[in-house]
Amino acid sequence: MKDDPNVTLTKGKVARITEDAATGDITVEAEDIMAGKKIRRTFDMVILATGMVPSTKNSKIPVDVSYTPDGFVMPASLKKGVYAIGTLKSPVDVAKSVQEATGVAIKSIQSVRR
Amino acid sequence: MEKKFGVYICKGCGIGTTVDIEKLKKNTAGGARVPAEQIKEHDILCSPEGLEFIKNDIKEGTNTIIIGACSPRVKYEEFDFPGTLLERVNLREFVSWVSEPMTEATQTLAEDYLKMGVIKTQKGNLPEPNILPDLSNAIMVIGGGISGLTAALEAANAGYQVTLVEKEAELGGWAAKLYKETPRSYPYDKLDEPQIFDKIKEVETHKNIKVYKSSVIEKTDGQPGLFDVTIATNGGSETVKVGAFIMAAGWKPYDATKLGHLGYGNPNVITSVQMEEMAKKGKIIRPSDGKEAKKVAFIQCAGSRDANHLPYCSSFCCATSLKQAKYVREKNSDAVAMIFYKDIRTPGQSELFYKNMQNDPGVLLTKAEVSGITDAGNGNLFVEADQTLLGEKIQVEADLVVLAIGVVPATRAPQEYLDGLTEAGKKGDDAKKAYVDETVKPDFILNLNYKQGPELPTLEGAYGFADSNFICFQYETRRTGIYSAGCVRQPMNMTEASQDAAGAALKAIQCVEHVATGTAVHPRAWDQTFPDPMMIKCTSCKRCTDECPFGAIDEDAKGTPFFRINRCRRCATCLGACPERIVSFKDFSVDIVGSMLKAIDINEDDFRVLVLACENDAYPALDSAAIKRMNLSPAVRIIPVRCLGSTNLVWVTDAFSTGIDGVLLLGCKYGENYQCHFVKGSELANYRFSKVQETLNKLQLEAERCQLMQVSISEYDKLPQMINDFVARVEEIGPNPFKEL
Repeated sequence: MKDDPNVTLTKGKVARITEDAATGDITVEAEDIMAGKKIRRTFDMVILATGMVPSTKNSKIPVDVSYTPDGFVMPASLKKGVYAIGTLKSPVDVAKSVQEATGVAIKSIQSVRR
Repeated sequence: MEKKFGVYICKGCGIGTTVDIEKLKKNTAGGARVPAEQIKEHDILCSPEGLEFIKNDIKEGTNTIIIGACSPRVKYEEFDFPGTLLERVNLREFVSWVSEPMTEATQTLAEDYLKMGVIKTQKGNLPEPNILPDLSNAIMVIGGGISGLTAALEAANAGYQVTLVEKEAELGGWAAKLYKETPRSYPYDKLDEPQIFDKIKEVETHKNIKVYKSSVIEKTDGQPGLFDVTIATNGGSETVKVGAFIMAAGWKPYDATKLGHLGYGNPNVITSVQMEEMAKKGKIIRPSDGKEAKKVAFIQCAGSRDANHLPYCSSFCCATSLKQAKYVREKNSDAVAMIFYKDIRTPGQSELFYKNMQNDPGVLLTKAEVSGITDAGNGNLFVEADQTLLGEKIQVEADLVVLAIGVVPATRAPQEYLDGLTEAGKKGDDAKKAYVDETVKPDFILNLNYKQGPELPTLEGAYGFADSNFICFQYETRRTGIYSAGCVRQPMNMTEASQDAAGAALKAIQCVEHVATGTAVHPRAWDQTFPDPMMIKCTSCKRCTDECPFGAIDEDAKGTPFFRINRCRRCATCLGACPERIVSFKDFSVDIVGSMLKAIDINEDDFRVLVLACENDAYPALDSAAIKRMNLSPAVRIIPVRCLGSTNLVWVTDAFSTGIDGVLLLGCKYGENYQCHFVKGSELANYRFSKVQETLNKLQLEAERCQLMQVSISEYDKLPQMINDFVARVEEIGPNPFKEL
């Protein structure tokens, strides 16, 4: 992506985002740390790469389990036979979720073959 | 099986208002020669009443069922009639949702699809699974590191016999060489004691696991369910029979001697692996004189994320250096640790560990590009760095420099050696001999006795990892029954490697269970058909042996190809490759598809375009476009193929000689970011496609009448336009002159 001339990556904190009421354009004011200066650019649209909040942040699961302050399940506190996978345990992407889900499926085979 | 047909047309979801059902029934009876009373309609076929309607006929002896309703990709649980030959005709997504209602063109379209569906069942047969005798369901694990040990335990605890082969004298791999581990649980502030030793003990005492230490695999013969593996231990050897492999051969640190620009070669510049050894022994010292190190510099991405070395991120080195910085701080409270990084990558919860380390005033983190390591004169070194956040060049004195060394998979060296051998072989026997004489042969891992080579073939874009490059197809390799786990697959930390190992163990179990029922493995994990060649017509041209992406075809002493059926993934690339057209599956053959396309109504006033669409991406993309009600030209007739690699060029010739005006081949992306579910199918189709032009020239037809397009599932919104544009181009060329004949 870095090689695409139409993609610009900037390290820096965003100070302000304002909308032009007439055009609907959005202006971002930010600090370009590597260039050591302030920048001001106008865009058609701004996308916020928002973080993940586990569903257990607000609604707890009906088993005795501990959570981190961010609401993630602490796996060590789960009873044997109960498994937390995917974003319940830590923020993960699709590939890692598939990986964990495949891995935990074997536990069910182990439980019935015991 | 004497076939008794039942054709069921659903009128729901708009089909009944797009197509004249009475006419459809009548023309199917005539066009596909089915008794009129065996063609029925229902308002909502997937409703309990609709299903009962079909099941009542099954009780009366109907055994061959053609359902003209929605896409076969939906309602498969409802339309499931065990023991019957079933064909789903996609009247909803391919006709009523994409065409103008109640027109002549739409009517003909529906009639063609239903006729083709009936013909497919007339020509096809119910599969009879090919179950080989004396199958083993035991599992072989290669590697006794964290991944291998975990995989062995997971499979053994699920009730399978496991053989574990480790080349070192002791189990544990890198994990056993660690002083401490990065924190595994909240609040991520204390280093954990290594857990590997409990795991080693559990493996060594497990009743279902047999461990071979100081051992390597000398030879692997056979196929899934029937692998004969010769294990060499201290000069002796033993052969064991297993059903599937988990390859957890692990990684090696990148060759630090190539990192002279980061000071390697100087005694006080060490790798993170050497740092672990030192911490485990006791004090953190300056190797040149044994003096306690007080200023330790860590250089991140040593070899990684560097086009001249390893282009990828080695994933766990950021956390490792943070951990080792803690060693420095815990062993000596006066000492400082300085980490020079491009970006700190501690995704997910490990961010909390990073935060904790940031809060230690004795740990300095600096974003910088290290430009060199120079001598400070007093036995110490200067780390020279540029592009810091303050925009200035800096020079920092350190008495010890630790390079956060990158990860190289164990599979890379054998792949590179074998690729070199292939290249040399192309230059002739002398060049090949010279290569063998002059090149150091690396340790092989599998030593497969396969015609297609002894190790996993190189995968473009995988940098030597045994990876599938697929988000959803993890653990898969191009050798059926061999699943990779841990750092041989991708750089990953120990928690991830443990999860990965459990996943690979499940895949290995699925493999042995599937071959036990004569069913294919992923991605056709339901399929009980298999390639059944008519060998008397085989000319031993070996095209199938060369093209099979999975090395499933072997050759006997006379050079005649034969299938090792459990290695086969049923992509039918062999069917596409065979110039004698002798490879058939019960529901997919040159004759079946050929007969289907010959049933397409050819009309002198109308254009017809045949689309051979890959079932894996192109077909679902067409369904998605239909859900969005994007119009498709009614000139188009879509026939799904198992993989574009299964396309036999005779279908293209057949299509043109029956008067079809254009042929479009729709397959997955190939090359480095390939999306082909059978890895090489679409690429091979493209190679064969280059020969189509010759055929068209012979027929004196324009080359533009036949085209191959790559499409990914996410491009469904562009697909109807791509197809309609192709139809328009064919219309510009004009009708196929063969139409009149």
